[in-house]
Amino acid sequence: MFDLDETYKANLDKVIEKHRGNWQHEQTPATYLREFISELQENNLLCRGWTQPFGEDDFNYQYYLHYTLAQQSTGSPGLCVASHVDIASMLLMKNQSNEVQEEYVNNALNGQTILALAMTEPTAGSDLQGIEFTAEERDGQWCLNGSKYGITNLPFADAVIVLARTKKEKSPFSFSLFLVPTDSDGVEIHPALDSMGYEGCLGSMTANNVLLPKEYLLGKLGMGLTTLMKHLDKERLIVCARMLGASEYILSSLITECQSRQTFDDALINHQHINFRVAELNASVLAFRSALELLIHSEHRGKIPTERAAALKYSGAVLVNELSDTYMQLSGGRGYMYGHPAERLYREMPGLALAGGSKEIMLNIVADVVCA
Amino acid sequence: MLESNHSITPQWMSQDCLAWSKRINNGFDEVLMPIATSNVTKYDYKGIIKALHDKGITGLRFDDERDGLKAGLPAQAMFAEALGRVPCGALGMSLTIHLDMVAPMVHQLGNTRQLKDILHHALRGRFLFSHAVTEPNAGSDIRMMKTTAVKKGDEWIINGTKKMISLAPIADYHFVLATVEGKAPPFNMVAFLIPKHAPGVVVGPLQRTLGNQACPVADIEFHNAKVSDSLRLGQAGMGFILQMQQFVQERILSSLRANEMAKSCLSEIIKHLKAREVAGKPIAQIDSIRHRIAHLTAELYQSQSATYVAMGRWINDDDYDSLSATCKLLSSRLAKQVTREAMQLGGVGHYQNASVFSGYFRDARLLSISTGSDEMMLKSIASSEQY
Repeated sequence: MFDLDETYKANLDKVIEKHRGNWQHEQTPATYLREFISELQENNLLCRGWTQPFGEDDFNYQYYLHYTLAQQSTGSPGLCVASHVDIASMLLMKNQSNEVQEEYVNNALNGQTILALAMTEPTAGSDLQGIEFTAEERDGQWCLNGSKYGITNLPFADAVIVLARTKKEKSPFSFSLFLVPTDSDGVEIHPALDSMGYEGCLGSMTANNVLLPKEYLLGKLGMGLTTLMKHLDKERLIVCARMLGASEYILSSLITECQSRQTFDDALINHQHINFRVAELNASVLAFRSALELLIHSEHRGKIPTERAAALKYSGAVLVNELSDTYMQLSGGRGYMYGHPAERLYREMPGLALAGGSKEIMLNIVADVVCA
Repeated sequence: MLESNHSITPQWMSQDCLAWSKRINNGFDEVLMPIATSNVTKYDYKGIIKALHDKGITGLRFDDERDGLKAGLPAQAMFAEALGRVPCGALGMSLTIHLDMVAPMVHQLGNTRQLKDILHHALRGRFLFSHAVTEPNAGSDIRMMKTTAVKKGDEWIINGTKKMISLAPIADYHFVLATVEGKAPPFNMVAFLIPKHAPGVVVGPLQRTLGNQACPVADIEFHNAKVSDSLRLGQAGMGFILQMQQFVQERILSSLRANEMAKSCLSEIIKHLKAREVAGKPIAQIDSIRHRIAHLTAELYQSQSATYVAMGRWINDDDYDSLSATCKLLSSRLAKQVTREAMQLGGVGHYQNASVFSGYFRDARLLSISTGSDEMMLKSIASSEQY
């Protein structure tokens, strides 16, 4: 896996190295994200894995990008870049149908415009059918009302892709996607949520009679949910690449910690119980890596089996939480202190585990296929 | 009917490989499925091997003119998977010992005579092999072995005891590992094929086991047993190295079998849960049960992925030490976990010995113990990853 052009890897490391100093704890990504994204793009690192003309049709580059960003000393840049590039911008690129939307794609890729994708609402999370955000046709325009909650990049986004209800009937074809500039009249972007990890990244908004011209409908009317569902398999693999990066980062930090800490006259790692515990986690990480490798291989041949992607995301959620818990446990009191990586990861991993749909939703998707 | 349902195919699982899979399934359908059940205590293994040979599916991995089918390792992997789908652990285990553990070592080390006089016939079901390595104080850690081999003229004198050896009561040749005096580890072991009637070879009484009951187990004692030097396999001193290498490969094949065992058992449970109703609806529609099934499925995918990637590395001669131990660990635990859930969800009817679930439950438990225990796998991962 990740058998890529070595200069890509080296250039990515270089850009990350240059920007790392900006990524202070608890600092909002608003201060550094645009610059970081534009530099990634200038070095052909941002969407090299996209289809032509944007990239080179080898999405291994995308997975590698997110895998690498998940191994940094803070998870925020990785989360924001993934949400911006491969979740929001790619959705826009795949469904764009006019010049307005095309321009948004171009500006998103050079870092001028930050994008977010807003599905979740205060009362509708993983179950998208419960969405209450509405869009109605009014005098040749769209009129949007409702709120979104827990959306990555939203506090500093320039535009947000919103899933809205365009029909009252309970049907999967009652929803559509809209591109909403955040400076539109009636849009209120609230201050960033005070979340446990990924400080300053998550936000919420309300739309109050926001009027949008026709060009801001993204994709076909009524096809919003269908479009997203297709996009979600891909999004889950992106999340899995981030989970793999985080897992390998935690595992190696954990091993280093256990090699350097001593108890009862020996390094922690030499106590058999701990040695076995680490080896067990190591086995889970290797299996997770193998499973992602096979799924990426399968995607290259044209298909991501939905239940496989969901099962992998489920396994990843279990894995990152277990790893971060063990890392903290084996780091002792120091690991509980603010500033120790174990403390940060313990807060961040439950958030990563939720991305792309909760564990329960993943199990439902798997069960729908295997118990059918 | 046996079917291989691969919802994901690694690179090495080519069309050619899948064609072999079909041929193997068909062969097993005719030879194994009519007789496979965990309640049998005896099989005519030599007859079975002969029948499989007649179907053209023994010796798949070998590439020599006489005995090889030149189908390669991918086909051998399909063979291991198909064995896992046969609902009888003993058949899977016995055929694996003969065809996938001992035969490959004989093939790798044997001289022309041994290949012609022994392996050739073994692949046709005329001889049966046992794999006699474990000792009273040397299980997974074979460095602790005490059995000795001393050379006298053209003969070797063997002394020692091999413990809990599968197929010992019915094997024609025992694959035996012994230590040679005066050599330093790890170059102090030698391998033999010892005929059952060699002077000084005593096979103990049949021992009952929790599962795999049709794979007979007994101890073997060697009291100054005399073995001709022509039955030595490979160089004296290289036995340990050979065995360790074989263990790493065998673990991948064991995992292929265990994953399929878990998968078959899981689909049996699902069938059962769909048919059985509680409070007016099928159990398979209850959320908590669906989540348990989905969890096991996710675990199956993890174990299977590690196994497939390990197999790919073996085929490509890449590094697979950590992955081999990983897939062996995960697949053994998975099979144990799935079969236990099957018993639980099956209800009391499936607690009975006649039930296929109780058979799986008994048979699968051995996987975490044999072919290197779970603990050995953890040690092996830690040492390959250098911590």
